[in-house]
Amino acid sequence: MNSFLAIIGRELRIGFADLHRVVTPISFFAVVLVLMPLGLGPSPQLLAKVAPGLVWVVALLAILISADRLFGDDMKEGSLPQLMTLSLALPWVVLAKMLAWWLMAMVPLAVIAPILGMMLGLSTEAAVITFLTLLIGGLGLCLVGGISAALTLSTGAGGALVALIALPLYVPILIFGSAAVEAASLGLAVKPYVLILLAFDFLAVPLAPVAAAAALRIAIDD
Amino acid sequence: MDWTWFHRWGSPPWFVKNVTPWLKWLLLLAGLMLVVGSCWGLLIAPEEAKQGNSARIIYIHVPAAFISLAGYYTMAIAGAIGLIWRMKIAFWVMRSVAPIGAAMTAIALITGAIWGKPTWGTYWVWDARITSMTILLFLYLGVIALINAYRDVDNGYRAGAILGLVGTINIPIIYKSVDWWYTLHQPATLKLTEDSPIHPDILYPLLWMIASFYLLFAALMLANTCRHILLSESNKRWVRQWYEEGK
Repeated sequence: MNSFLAIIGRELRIGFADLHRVVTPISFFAVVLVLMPLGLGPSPQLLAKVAPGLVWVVALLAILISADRLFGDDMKEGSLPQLMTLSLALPWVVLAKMLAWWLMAMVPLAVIAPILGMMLGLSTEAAVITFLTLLIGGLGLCLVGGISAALTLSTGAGGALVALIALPLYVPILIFGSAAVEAASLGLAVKPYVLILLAFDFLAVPLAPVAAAAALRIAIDD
Repeated sequence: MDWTWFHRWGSPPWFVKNVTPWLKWLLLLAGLMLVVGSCWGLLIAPEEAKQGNSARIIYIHVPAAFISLAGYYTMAIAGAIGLIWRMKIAFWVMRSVAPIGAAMTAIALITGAIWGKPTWGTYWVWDARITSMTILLFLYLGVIALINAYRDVDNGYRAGAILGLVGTINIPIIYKSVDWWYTLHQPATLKLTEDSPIHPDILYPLLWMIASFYLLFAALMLANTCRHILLSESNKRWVRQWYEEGK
């Protein structure tokens, strides 16, 4: 447990030492959402209608931007093999890295998303649900994105391949996440969607690190 | 239990030598069944009462959709066998199924669009089943792209197998989407346990076509597996011997 926390601490120290790692996904998220009224037209009715889906889709893309740094930096500087020889089993190491990624990329994004959502015309309740679902669903995004990052690590194919692999797997999270925000803006019950997102997390927390660890072993071989 | 049969199937030379002799007969049989089924469905089976002749596209659409899902299962299971028992044959099967499954998914989508225009009045709607089938196509493309992105083929196969297994979480969603979200696509009408609401005159040629598509799938899969084996073992002595014997 101590080394698990130590890895999370290490990731956070590296992440905040190199601040643009934290700022880039959020800036990307904000700038793409700002482009939307320019592309779709500034009609408040239209923007309020598409806001739940927009916020979620752009969040998926924003999180993928930082996905290849998750293992890429450790691979480049050679600390990945070191992490693999720890007494802590590799899936635990991977889970720690994914959790740290969630804390650094997804939590700040979930914090600014309601503000941008309200600028697009979401109601206060819908904005609160945006924060909540991005927090809960975002964990799933980081876990699944971590598998994709590990699978593509040694290919050198970069972001496009990560996106092609991860985005189809993001479909269930996108459906229930945006449906929750949509329901909140219509004043309907939100709880079922939030529970399904939580269920996805409970499924992904034990399984995704195992898959990502297996993928990392392949990447080290390659 | 005697497990030697299992190990024999894991040997590339044994596989190629024992599959290729009857492969052309299997392809021929699948082709014949497809011709017979097409004639039965297009010429003999009665016209659908409300949709007229356009409904005859189901004889292609439904079997292709069956194979697109069965292909994904085959790919994922073959990948799992390859990862667990380190059988190279399983990886070649996985690799050879992927493009076939992708093609069948594309056929199901295209025939559905062609049928949708006269019946629903539109080529495309963002209905649950159609959208999830499109996602299935991207799952296939992702697996193929990932395998090809690796410099080392064996590592590519292992990575592809992991992605295939992770992707199976989407398959039940695709499979049940027509029952869970009743949008435009009709719910499943072919059921194992109950009588189908389809009239036997249409049902029997449809089942015949599904059987033919499965046979075609099996034949293409075996042919493509042999192709991949021969490509990657092309510098081995047994391939040369096999080739000389064949001449």
